[in-house]
This record gives sequence, C-alpha cells and structure tokens, in this order.
Amino acid sequence: MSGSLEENLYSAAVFTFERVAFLVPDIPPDPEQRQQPVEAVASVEFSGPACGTLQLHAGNGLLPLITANMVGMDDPDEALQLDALGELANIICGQFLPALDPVSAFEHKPPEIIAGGDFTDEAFSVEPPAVLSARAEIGFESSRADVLLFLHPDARSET
Amino acid sequence: MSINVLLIDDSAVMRAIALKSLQMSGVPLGTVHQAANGVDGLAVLHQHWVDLILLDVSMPFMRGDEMLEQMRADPALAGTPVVVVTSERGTERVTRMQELGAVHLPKPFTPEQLRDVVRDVTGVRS
Amino acid sequence: MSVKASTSGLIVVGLGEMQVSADPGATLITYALGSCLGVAVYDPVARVGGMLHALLPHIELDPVRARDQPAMFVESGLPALFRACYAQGARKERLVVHLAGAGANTIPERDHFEIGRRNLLMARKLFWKNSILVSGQDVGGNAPRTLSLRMDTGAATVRSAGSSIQL
Repeated sequence: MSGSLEENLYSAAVFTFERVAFLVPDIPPDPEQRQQPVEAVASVEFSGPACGTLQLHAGNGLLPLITANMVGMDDPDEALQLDALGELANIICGQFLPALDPVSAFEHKPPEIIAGGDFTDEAFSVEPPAVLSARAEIGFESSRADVLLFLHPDARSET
Repeated sequence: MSINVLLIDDSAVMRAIALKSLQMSGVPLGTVHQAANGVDGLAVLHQHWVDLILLDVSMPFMRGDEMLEQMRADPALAGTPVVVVTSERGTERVTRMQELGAVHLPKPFTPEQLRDVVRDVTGVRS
Repeated sequence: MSVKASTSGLIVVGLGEMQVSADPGATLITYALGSCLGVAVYDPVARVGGMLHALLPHIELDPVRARDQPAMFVESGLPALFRACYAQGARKERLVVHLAGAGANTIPERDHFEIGRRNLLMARKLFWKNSILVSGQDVGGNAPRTLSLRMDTGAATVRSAGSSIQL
C-alpha cells in the first residue's frame, strides 16, 4: 500500500466528492464546519482480502448540497438526499479498497443509511472486533463530512 | 431509430444520474424503464421491449450478476446488451458478467463516458 | 458583442474577458492559461463561436467585480458566453465545447487555494446542471497554455510547452 490508510482514505473521499458532487474540500475543516452535528450516516460493509466497514458521516446541511449537485437539480427531497449519501459512501469505498490490496478484489454490500439519530462515535461504532483504523475529516462550504474506516483484525474473509 | 433502456440500480440517485447522462448523450431514446433490483428488472424485461440495460451489481433481493445469469439462460432475453455500472473492481462477479458479454463502466462515470459506451454497445449515434 | 478580427485574423481574448465571433476568417485566441480556465464554444451550423478566459470560480469572491466583469468568473462567465453565442444565432444543442487550462501553480506552496482545480470543478458542475457535454479538454498540470478556435472549421487547438494538440 502506497501511503497510510488515512492518506488513502482522504484521497478516495476527495476524488469522489469532487468527481460526483463537484465539491472542493477544506482539509482540515474550519471551526464552523466542525461544529455542524452529524445528521446522517451511510455504512458500507466490504469483504475480501480484508473485511470491514466504511462509514460516511454527513454534517448538518451537507445532504441537500451534495444531492443537488449530484443529480443536477435544485431542492431534492429527503429520500433522495439519504440515497445520495449512500451512493457517495459506496463510491468512496470502491475508490479506497484497492489501497488495502491493489491486486485482489473486494465485494461490498449495498449501503445502509441511518438518519435522525444521536450520532457520536460511541453510539454508532461498528461492533467488535472491528476497530476504527482511519478517519478523514473534510469541510465543505458550511458543513462537513467524516469518513471512518473500521477493519476486522483478522484480514482474510471466508470465500 | 430510438433505443429503449432499462436502468437497474438500488440507488434512485444513480438512476437519476444515468437517466440525465443518457438524455445528454444525444442518442435517441425511446422509453426508459427503471428498476431497483434484479427481480424487478427481470419483470420489466418480460413485459417490455428493451434494447439496452445499465445494470448495477450490488443490490438487494437479486444482485446484478445473478440477474444476468438468468437473462443469458433465457433465449428471449439472452441477446440484450448489458453495461455493468459498478464501483466494484475486478471482483469475481464483475469478471463473470464480462464473460457473459457485459461491458463494464466503472463508477463514477462522466456523461461523456456513458455516451461513448452506449454508442459503442448499441451502434446508435446522435 | 461580436467583433471583427484584426488584419491578422486574430481576435485576442484577454484575462477576464470573452469574445464572440461570426467571422469565418477569424481565429479566437487566448494566452497564458495557467490556473485560469479557457472555454471555447462553436456552433458548426451557424458558424458562430466564442471564447472565455476566466480567472476565478465563484462570483461570491467579488460580487461587485462579477457584475461589472462577469467573464472574470467561471460561474458568471459561462452563462454569459453561451447567451452571447445565442444572440449571434448559435443553438445550445449544436454548441461544441472545449476546455483548456485550470492548471496548478508550478510552486506548490503558491497553489494553496487550488484555483485551477476549483475553476474546472465549477465549470463541470455548471455543465452537468445545464446538460452540456464537453467534447475535448486539455487541463491540469502546471504548464501554461494557449487556446485558439478557428471560426471557419471550429477546430480548437491548445499549445503548451512547445507542442500543439487539436482537441
């Protein structure tokens, strides 16, 4: 793997947000962006040479922005906004996983979306034995997105 | 001549992006159908004339590779051109879908890339 | 808005400017595209074309300047360019679009604001929202570029670092 897990996570996230949502990131987020509470989380489980979960946490106000940019229309409804978050997580995951193993292939499940909860890392951490292995924090306009990578310590999945 | 297209993806946003990209491509479109999984996709295929399928892989109820296996085993559906649109790379299931004759378009794609793939697969220009 | 070419046939588009022409003997040209974004558009049926040399992405960076000089910003310059072409008889569905520039500063420490990247992103966002495809582009890197557009054929050419490519 070239670069650290965190560097590759940032790289995958930045590429995806730029290419799909046309947003240039602020790294690190400024204080105002950091203050935005998380309003929804998309979670993608993957398996292959390594197993784990990639989560995309969306700060307040980010969803309408990314969705409008992604579909090219104004005022997208809430369902579409949550869908957009899931799809971004899906694409970030696909961009990131070659950093774990550039040769072997990974599979991922459809994203799961949770909205309207009380999101703290403790409240929404992935079940053990997966551990938080890398984190990318990115600011966008007045909001923010965090990308969290959880890995199972046992690298090989059953095939 | 216009082409009827079936968009199969569990993400409504991706279906919207694909639809918009198709509309931008200049390729003459007939009816564009949508489905959120392989089961619904097969149901559309059995009811409607479809000239091209844009197919996701990872979906609930029936994955894209599973759906394509069933299509290729059905003489009525076997010849329908399929473009696999997925963020997965090099997985067994994507490779298998290519062996079954599908063309792979990785996510994220630009509208220009989708246009080029649709033109290549269908032979239809603007 | 449409201007006649000089005796050399060249219509020079300066920094923060745009030009439109319906003169088949003219060539639109803009120089020194570093982080700036150059946009060339051409309607092959109406034989109308235009060129934009935008410096910055968002009008919010200087709203007063954006009002007085919309071509300075990608956000205001792109729609202005298209409208100016329509006024000369061009049709949106026929316009062929080429991009050049949007590079990075050769000294990374001076590229803190990543203006080139932001210029390109703003353009792609506007094109997507307004259902416009890009026919060709030569963007990124850090070598300055010259973009030209021949009004007789619609050929868009980029010169950079001693080489020339037709988009």
